[in-house]
Amino acid sequence: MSKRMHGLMRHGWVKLGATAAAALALVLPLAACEGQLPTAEAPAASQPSPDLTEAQEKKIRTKILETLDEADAAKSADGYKAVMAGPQLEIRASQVTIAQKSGSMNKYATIPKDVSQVVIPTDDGWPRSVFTITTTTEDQQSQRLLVLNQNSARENYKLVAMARLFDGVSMPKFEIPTHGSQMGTAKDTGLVATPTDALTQYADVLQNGSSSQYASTFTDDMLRQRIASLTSTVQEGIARNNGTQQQTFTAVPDQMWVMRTADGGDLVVGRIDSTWTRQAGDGRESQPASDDERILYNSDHYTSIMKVTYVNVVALYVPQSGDGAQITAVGADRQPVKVEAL
Amino acid sequence: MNPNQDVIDPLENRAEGQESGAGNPGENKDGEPKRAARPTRHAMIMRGIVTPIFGLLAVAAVALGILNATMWKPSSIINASATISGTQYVVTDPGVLPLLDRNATLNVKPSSSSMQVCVALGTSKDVAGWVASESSYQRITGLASWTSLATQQGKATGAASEASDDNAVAFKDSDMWSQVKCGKGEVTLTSTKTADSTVAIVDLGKDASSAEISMRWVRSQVPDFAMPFYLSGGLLAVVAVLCASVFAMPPHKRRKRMVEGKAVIHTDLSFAERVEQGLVGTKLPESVPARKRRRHAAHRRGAKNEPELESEQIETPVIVDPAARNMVADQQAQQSEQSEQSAQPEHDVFEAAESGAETGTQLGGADGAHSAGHSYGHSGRAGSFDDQATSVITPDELQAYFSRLAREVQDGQSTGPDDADMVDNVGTGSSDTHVDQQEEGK
Repeated sequence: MSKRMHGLMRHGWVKLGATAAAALALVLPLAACEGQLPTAEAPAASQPSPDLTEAQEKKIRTKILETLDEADAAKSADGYKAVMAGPQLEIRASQVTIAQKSGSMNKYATIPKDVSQVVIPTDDGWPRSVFTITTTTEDQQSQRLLVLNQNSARENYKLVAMARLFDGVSMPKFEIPTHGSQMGTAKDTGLVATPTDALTQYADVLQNGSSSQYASTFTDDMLRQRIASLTSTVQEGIARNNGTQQQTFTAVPDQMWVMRTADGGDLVVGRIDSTWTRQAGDGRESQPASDDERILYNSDHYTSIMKVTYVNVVALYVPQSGDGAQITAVGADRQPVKVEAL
Repeated sequence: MNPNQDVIDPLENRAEGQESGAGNPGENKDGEPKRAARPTRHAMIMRGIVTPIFGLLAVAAVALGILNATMWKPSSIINASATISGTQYVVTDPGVLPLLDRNATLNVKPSSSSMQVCVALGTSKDVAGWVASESSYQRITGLASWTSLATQQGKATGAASEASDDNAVAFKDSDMWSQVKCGKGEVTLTSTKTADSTVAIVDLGKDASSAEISMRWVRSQVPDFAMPFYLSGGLLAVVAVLCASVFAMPPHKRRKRMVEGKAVIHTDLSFAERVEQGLVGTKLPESVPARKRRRHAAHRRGAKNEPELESEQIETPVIVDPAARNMVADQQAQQSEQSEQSAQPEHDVFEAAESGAETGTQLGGADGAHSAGHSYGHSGRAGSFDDQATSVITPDELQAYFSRLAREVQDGQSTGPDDADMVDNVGTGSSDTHVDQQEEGK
């Protein structure tokens, strides 16, 4: 019996050694390591994130406006190209050309540095547009609507459009910057009109006034009123010497930026080119209609026909289609860029 | 080893038990005298072999725990690097920068110190847009080991066409980067509070020579490997103690103890059941298992010697009666009995408490049923009788009671416990009719 037990115990000791060795072999690799290697996991995109933070937008905008200020002070359009594009580049270049003669920038060219609202897109691709609404200017001019556009990833944001908001206009609401808004497209549907159509139809309304077939689609606004009154004033003078005048407005849908509003509508900022051809009758000379035109013409040699090219920027709020829904022009800018005597 | 021991031991033990049983047929089944003489082989193996094994393992686990908490403690600073060549842009995957901590330091060391390199942080979609026009770029996908970064060739999406040279901006001038740092030679950029979507992009320049990119995190949370070892060490120590004590006992000894424990529970259960019977009335399905167990116990007890049996006999009525007693119902019952047979007053109460296996239980059952069925209906009337009933015990009645008590104690000793049980059951079963009779008598 004791022999048996001895055998059993020896067997036990061998087994014990084997078990201990196995246990150590299991345990030792665990020791002296740094833990399990973590793997990188892409964050779950639960919600599209805004392309910029408000701080980034401010940094970009400030850089653009400071560059503008430097170029304005130097009265040279050379610096504009780095920070501006689209209709605003042409308008600003015209304004600085005029400023070279007149001595100061047009008061409508002022862009306040403070903002009241920033609309940041969430779209992943390019181009990307940031809509910024500034405060009123120091001389109590209306707020500016700025469109900063990044055309591609390898380019920076540029100021492509600036519209002065009409007095007392009610702007549509947008998503807050930390959520970001969705950019609209030129072919958005479910609206009173697609953005492209809205721009084209508004050009027609500007050209034909209340006789336009689209006149009822748009609410009355300051730009329409002013163009109509200016045209009628000029018409009086021209009519006295049997002259004629003609204005044509052409929408440029390629230079159009669209942002979705919180209520599902679109805010469309687009360019409308216009030419104003005035022909004096009775062998008279056709003269510039404003100081800006005179400076731009920069000559004393007049002919009977004067053709002035304007660049217009309009901001249209296109609501969702519904009973009596009308497109509202909320802001605009207008600047002669070229004056020719034909 | 331990399972083996466990398997072997009972077999050994059983064989031994059989041997001993064959050797001394008259000896007790428990083999207690033998164990008292010297420990069994089972106990020796458990205490001499299994316990030390567990003890050693416990010590080893604690030692490993201490080592993991000190010498082998995972370092909180992780430095991983990779050498990259033949590409202009190196991009980290989303989630790589905040892989180990929200703060990460990215270091780029080009092969030649005259090389201009830039490091920038941006959102993943911006960086993806920047490299979209590249034919290829390198991705840092994570950690290949604790000291090296995993890299992978990035595929160009080709979605974006190359921007015209006039408008294109230099890498460091892009609006998209939240941080950018350029320099000749070594460039280090620290990303703090890195968002999940933030990635790093490295511009090694058009020459695309090689550079060593390293990332450094200071882990705020280092994995704790010591605690599992401490815990298992503690468990092993407990197992060792158990092996030396409880598991070293002969299995049948342990089993016997458990059986004894059950027997104790049995009496408790029967007590509870009896109380329930007294309150609820006659509930035969409930009473059947109780009787069974009691019979079994009685049977087992019958095989044993006398004194135990006696103690059981005395116990039974003591357990049952006081709880099942409803004084109001008692009074009513006694009142009715008094009216029927004036020679038998309420002495039964005391009688039952003292002993009275037969009569006491009978009355107890009846009273229980009575109280459950009728105590509410008669409580008002019972209250009026209450004072009289308890106060009017004359010395003569007490004398008569004691004499009857002495007689019945003698009778009760002659009857067995089985009879008492039988009577109990009969009393409980017929209590309804008994009560009915009493009611009619009223």
